[in-house]
This record gives sequence, structure tokens and C-alpha cells, in this order.
Amino acid sequence: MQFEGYRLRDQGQPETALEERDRTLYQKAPLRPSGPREAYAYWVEQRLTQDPIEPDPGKLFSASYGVAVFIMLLTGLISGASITYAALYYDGSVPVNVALFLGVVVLPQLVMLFFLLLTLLLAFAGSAVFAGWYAVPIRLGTWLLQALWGKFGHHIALATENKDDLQSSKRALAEAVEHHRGLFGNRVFRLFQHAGMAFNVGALLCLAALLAFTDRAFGWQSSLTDSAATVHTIVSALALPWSGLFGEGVGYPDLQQIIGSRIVLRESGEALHSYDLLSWWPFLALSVVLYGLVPRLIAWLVSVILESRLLGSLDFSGYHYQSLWRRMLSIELRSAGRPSLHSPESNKPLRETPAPNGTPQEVFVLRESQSRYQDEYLDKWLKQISGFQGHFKTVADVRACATATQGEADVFLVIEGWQPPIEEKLAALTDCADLLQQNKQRLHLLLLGKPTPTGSAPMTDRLTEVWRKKLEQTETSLYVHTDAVDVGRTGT
Amino acid sequence: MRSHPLIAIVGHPNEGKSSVLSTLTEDDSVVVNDYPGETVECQYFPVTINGEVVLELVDTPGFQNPVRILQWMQSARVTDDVLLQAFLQEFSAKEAFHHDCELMQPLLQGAALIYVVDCSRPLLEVDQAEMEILRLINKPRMAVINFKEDDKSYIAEWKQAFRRHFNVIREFNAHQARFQERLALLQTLKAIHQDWEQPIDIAIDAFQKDWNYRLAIVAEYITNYLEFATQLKVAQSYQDEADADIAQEKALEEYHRKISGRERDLFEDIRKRYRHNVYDLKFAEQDILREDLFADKTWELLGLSKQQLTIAATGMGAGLGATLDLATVGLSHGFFTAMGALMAGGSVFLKGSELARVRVKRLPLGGTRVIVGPNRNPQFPLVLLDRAILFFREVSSHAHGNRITENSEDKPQGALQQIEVEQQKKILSCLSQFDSASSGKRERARADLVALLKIILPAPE
Repeated sequence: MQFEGYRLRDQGQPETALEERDRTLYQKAPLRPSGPREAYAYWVEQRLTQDPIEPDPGKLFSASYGVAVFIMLLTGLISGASITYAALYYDGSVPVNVALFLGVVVLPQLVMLFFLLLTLLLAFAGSAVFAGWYAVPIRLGTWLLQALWGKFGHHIALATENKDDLQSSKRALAEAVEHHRGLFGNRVFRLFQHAGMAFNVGALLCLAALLAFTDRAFGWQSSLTDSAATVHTIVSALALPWSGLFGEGVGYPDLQQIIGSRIVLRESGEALHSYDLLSWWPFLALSVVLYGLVPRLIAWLVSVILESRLLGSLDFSGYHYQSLWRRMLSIELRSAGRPSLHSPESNKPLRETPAPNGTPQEVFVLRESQSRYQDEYLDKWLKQISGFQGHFKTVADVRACATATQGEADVFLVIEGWQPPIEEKLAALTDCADLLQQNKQRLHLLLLGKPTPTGSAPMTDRLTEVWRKKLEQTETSLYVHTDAVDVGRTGT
Repeated sequence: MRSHPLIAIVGHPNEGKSSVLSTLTEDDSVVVNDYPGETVECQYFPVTINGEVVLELVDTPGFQNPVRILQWMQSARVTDDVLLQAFLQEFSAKEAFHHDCELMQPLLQGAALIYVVDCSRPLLEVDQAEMEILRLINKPRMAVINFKEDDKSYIAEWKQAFRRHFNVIREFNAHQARFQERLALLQTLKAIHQDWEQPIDIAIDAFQKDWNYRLAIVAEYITNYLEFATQLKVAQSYQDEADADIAQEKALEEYHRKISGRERDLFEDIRKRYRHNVYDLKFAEQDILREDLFADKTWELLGLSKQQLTIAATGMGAGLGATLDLATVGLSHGFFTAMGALMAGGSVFLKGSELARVRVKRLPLGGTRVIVGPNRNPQFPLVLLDRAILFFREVSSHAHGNRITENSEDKPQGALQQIEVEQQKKILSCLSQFDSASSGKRERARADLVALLKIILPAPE
């Protein structure tokens, strides 16, 4: 019940929080549970300590069940005593008919016992008759338990002013009944065994009280037979279970006593032997014990053993229990990074400074770049992008442009713009631009796209922007051109 | 020195180092962009299992001065850690070398390294310089070929260069790598440092368990969602007969709203479970998931239409399956014929073109109540399931390093049509048990569906 209560309480909670809690509980168990049963028992124990549930559905069930048992005991006791009292009615004229007593008090119990054994046999044979044949008592027992549960819960809710928990507690009972029908049915069955035992105890107490404090005479009569021997045979057969302990004349009447206690209505009571009339009561009492009380006691014991077995065989493999076991066995795996310093240069706005127009007089291409593009293509591309008519010059590195230049015109250098502008390249460009500046020459960069089998891919706006931003940071006059579009000047 | 393996991801700027890390560690908080040099410090990614670090990966800034550093190192005439220490001593105060010094820090702490390159571009002098630097430092290392674009024209050139500097070479597409490819990359790490086999195995095992765990939990999420949707009942009361249509409309709206809301919650749970915090999936024009659950287009994309369903459902009984198969024109592969057997009792009731069951009840104290649901149409949970599977596959296979949110247009429009007929039958059987009176049967149906979903959910390779 408590387990169901907590399981319901967890519904709708964030799964990650539940995982962390259940995993921690499982890992902190002093003895690592070998399976869900042990783990769940420990889990409930820990949760009761850390997060008490009010009203506790387990306690609520125990209390309700306790009261239901009390009601059943009382009902059984009163009904047993009342029926026995009625069956033993004696006004002093006609002795109590033992057949009537047996028919009212013992026979119905024997019929019920036979019916129960038949049901159990069929149940063992695989037939699901139990729930059908005992539908009424099961419904009655369930109703009683639920009514009591509601009453108790209501009182607790009034005391604690917490109706939400009462609702969840009621749901816990419903869920427990739903998921453990066998266990619950067994408890209802036991409830009736309590009533049965109390009935027989009530009957015995009533019999004892009447014998102790009133005068009761017992006899027999029959329209079918007047043979005391036949009656003796029947009585001996019924007394077989206890005849070893309480023999003829003690545990049941002997033939003489039976003859002596026959009621013949035309005869007066004086014709009967008063000693023989009393010889029946041990037989009656032992019949109640053996055919009423003992079978109920055995049924009660079977129910107790069955409950223990059912509880022992609970493997919590049902769908609703798997999630807890899964959470307990989960691992906390983290692989996210720790935050680090990030320099958001890319967010800085770009200054809009157009590059000066003019046709290049001299264009340089780095030797490494030249190896990746065809010369004819480069010439064509240069003509297209800048109007340059001649053939480019090749240099080993960026700085070499400053020394290789002839004349005073601005210098144009082809740069593979698809490569990210790294520090050493920017440093080389800055050095080159500074050297050219000494001769009042400016350095123009012609950004070339990634090589393709037929030439080069066009430079994207984003790549151009990246180059311009990086060059802007050098604070050197460097002009950027790309794919026939003058995109601007960087630096000061 | 750390007791656990430390692995630094190094390389030229803009080669996809951060993408590789982001995909490998499922961390989409890693800044991935095309502006070089924004990673100015190392970022550490400890892989912790129950709080204990078993493996640590490091994202590093890109090389900024490889040629200059190589020139200096070649003149230094020392190698290994001595060279590393000398380098840091010489350059750590120089601002221009900040990134280079920062990327060397984990190596000084005993890290092995993964050199990431984008092989969709030609090999450059700077790459040669970087590889030579790494060879001189002489740390356990492997090369990872990342394809930023699907261009493999330079791969032979790269592989030849790698063979001179690395013992282990692995291809890894940080934008498309699925779970098994991530595990395979981690497996390869064992080859670069034998002493690290055990901790890396532990990490791999934990990743695998965690992945299975997620699959199980998503299967449960979907099962719970399907049960909720198939059992949902919405009631709306009205007094005046003139309000009957409005009440029914309201009840249907509420019914749709609740199921659509629950679907959104399911999708959000799946997204979170797969650690996608920034990934906002945008579906292609023709994608079934782009449409609202109750939009006509959703059903049409699955080869169905509300009208077809209505016609088919009116025929009910044994013929229903065959009718639906005809209606779906081969998409279902006999799926609905199997379903027809279960439907033989004829529990489907459709009013007008609505999918949900609508009933009208007179109230004892006056007035009338219109009740929508529970939905007994067998196709209804199938459509929900189909969408859930499609969404799951989309999210679970999306690499964290991939920041493109628009998915491709050639995705399959239905997931259930790809699964085996036997599995289809089992799904139908489980779904049909959700309204069983026996709690035991319902429990078994749930557990069976979860087990089935764990097999069906992962996309076929």
C-alpha cells in the first residue's frame, strides 16, 4: 500500500529528479539489493523516513482491515450465539432436538466447507471459478474495506486538513487492489474466516453458558426410523474424528444413551432418562469444534500461508513497477563541457569603407596558391575581378610582395579567401602593407574561392565578412576585393 | 597529471573541432560557428559516471602560427615534453601566440590528441606544419577526418599525409554521426593509448547503457501517451437543443487540444531526453510532422483521409481491414487486414467525418451531455504512433554538432509501413488490450508494447 502510495505520488514528477533520487537511494543501500523485491522494500523504508506520506495508505489499510476483522468477529460471535440460543430453545416439556441443532449450526458449515473444497479443487485444476462463485462475498468484503478506508481517511483528512493526500491514498488502495487482486482477494477470504471462527466460538460459548446456567435436555426423534442402532451408527460415524480421544459414552452417546434419549411425543418427559438426556452435549460441542471451528481455523491458516507465499512470489515485473527498477539501475552520465571564455568577435559590426577603384598594375600570387589553380584560370579570374590584363607574378610568401614590386602603383595580392585568416597570415599581410606604405603604396587583397576542377568556387559573403573583420583588427590599410565586387577597405 | 584519460581535440581553425566535441559529448551548448578564432581557451568536457570522471575531452583553440612555431621548434633541437615546455616558456607571454600556447596546455597535462581536419579541402602548408609540430611533441595521437561538406575529392591526399604522422586514422562526420559511430570513435581512442583501454571501455559501456535507458524510457513515454489518447473522454453539457452543435464542437476541440498538447509534451520529453536544448526542429514542406496532428494533411500524408476512414469504418466488421488496405493503396501492406480481425466485433463508430466517437446522453436532472471519445478507431493510435516514431528517429539521430535545424525533404513519410507484418500485428494486439477490463491484460499489453517499441524505434540502418 505504501509502495503504491509513493508510486502514485511520483506520477507527474520530473523524470530526471526521480532518476536521481532513486539511483541515489539504490546506490546508498548498505547491502546492495539483489533484485527489485529487496530494493523496493528498502526504497519504501527510506521514503517513509525522508518523505512521510499522510495519511499513510499502509497504516490506513491496516487500521481498516483491523476494524473489518473486529466487525466480522463481532458479527460472527453474535450470530453464532443467537442461532445456537434459538436452536437450543427448551421450555422444559420437550427436550432439545439434536438434529435441529446440527441442522442449523453444523450442517450449513459442512455444506460451505464442501463448497469451498470443491472450488479450491477446481481452482487448482485451472478453472477460474473462485471469483465467480464468491462474487457476492468478495464484493461485500471489498465494500466493507473501502467504506472503512474512506471513513478513516476522511477523519485523518479533517484532522490534517489535507484532502489531496486522502485522494491519492484512496487511489493507492484502488491501484493496489487492481494490481494485486490475488492478495486482496485472499484478505477478503480471511475476513470471512474470522467471521466463521467467531460464529463457532459464539455457538460454543452459548452452549456452555446454557449448560452451565440453565437446565437443557437433549433428545432425538425421527419419523423414518425408530431404530436407535441406526442413529447410533450415524452418531458414531460423525464422531469418528474425535472418537480416539473422547470415546463412546464420553465424546458421543452410546447405544443405551441413544435409546434412553429418544423423544416419543405421546410419552411424558418422565419416561426419559435424565442422565441419557445430558449425554448428547459433548457430541454437539465437539461437532461444532470439529466441523465448524477447526475447518475455519485451517482455512484461516491456509490464507495466512497463502498470503506469505503470494508476497514471497511478488517479482514486481509488471509494467508499472519496471520504471522504478529502471531508475534505480540508471547511471548518471554527464559529458557536457564546463563553460569557457569565448571571444564573440563575430558579433562586432563591420565598418563600411569602400575600396578605391582602379585597375591593378601588378598582381602577385603566392606559390602555394598557384599550385592549386591553373594559371590560365587565374589570369581570367583576375581580369574579371579587377580588369587586370597582364600575367600575375609569383612570390614565395606574403612579405616578398613588398620587395618584388616594381613601380609605385598599389600592390594586388591574391589570397585564398576560403582559408580562415590565421594570426601568422594576418601578421605577414600587416608587415607587407606597412613596408609598402613606406613607398606610399597600398596593399589590395583579392580573395579567391576554394579550388574546383574548373577553377574556383565563388567567395561567400560570410567568408568575405570574416576576412574583413579579421583585417580590421590589424589596424592596417588593407583593401579587400572579391569576385568582381569591391567590398571595402579595412583598417585606418 | 590526471588519473583518467585526457584527450585534446586539436587542429586548424574552422575544421570542426567544436562540432566533433559537441557531437561526441552530446553537448549543444558548445559554440559552433564559422568565425575562426572564437575559441580562445580550452574547454573541458569531463565524462562522469555517477559523479566520477572516467574520461575528459578538451576542445582547444585552433593553430594560429603553425609555420612560425615549426620553424622555431626545428631550430630548438629537442623533442617531446622538453620541447613543449621550452615552447611554452618562450611564447606564453606573446599575445600573438596565445591560442597556440593555450592549445598546448592539455598536452603538458598528459593529454593524448585527436587531430581534426576537414577533408573537403586540399592539404595546405600550414597543415603539414601542424602535423609536424604534433610529431615533434610526440603525444599519443590519432587523426579524425571530418567532412564539413560531402566532398571527398581530397581524401587520398590527406590519408597519405596522415600515414606519415598518425597510427590511427578515422573518418567521422560530426554533422551526421549517429550513436554507433560515436561509440566507434571512442573505441578507436583505445588504440592510441593502451593504458586507457579500461577507462574508455567503462565510458563506452556507460554510453551504451545510457542509450538503452533512453530508448526504454521513450518507449514508456509513447506507450503511456497512446493509452492516454485512446482512453480519453471529453464531455460537454448543454441545456438547450439549439446549443447541441456548439457543445459538440467544443467537446471535439477540447478533445483535439488535449491530445495535441500531450503529443507536444511527448515530443518535448523526447527532445530533452536526447539532450537537445537548442535544436529546434523545423520540418520540411512535405514532412508529416510539420502538420498538426489533427490537420487533414497529416492523415493524407499517411495515405489516409478522414473521409476514407469514415467510409471504411461504416463498413466495419470483417471487411474493414481489407477496405482500409484498399484505402491506403498498398501503404499498409496488409496491416489493416490484420486489424480487421480484431475489429470483427465492430466497435468503430464514426459520426460525420470525425475520428473520435461522439455520444449524446440525457442527464437525469435535465439537460444533455455530449461525450467525445474514447476513440475506438484502430487507425487513430497508429497515426499517433507513426508520428511519435518519426519524431523520435529525427531527434535521436540528430548530431549535436549539427546546428542546421531544417531537415531534409527526402525523409520517409511513415514509419510503421517499414516494419514487419508480425510486429504490426503485435502492435495492434497490444493497442486493442488497452481498454480491457482485466488489469493484468492491460499491464501485459503495456509491457509488450514497450518491448516491441524498443525494437521498432531505432531507425533501420
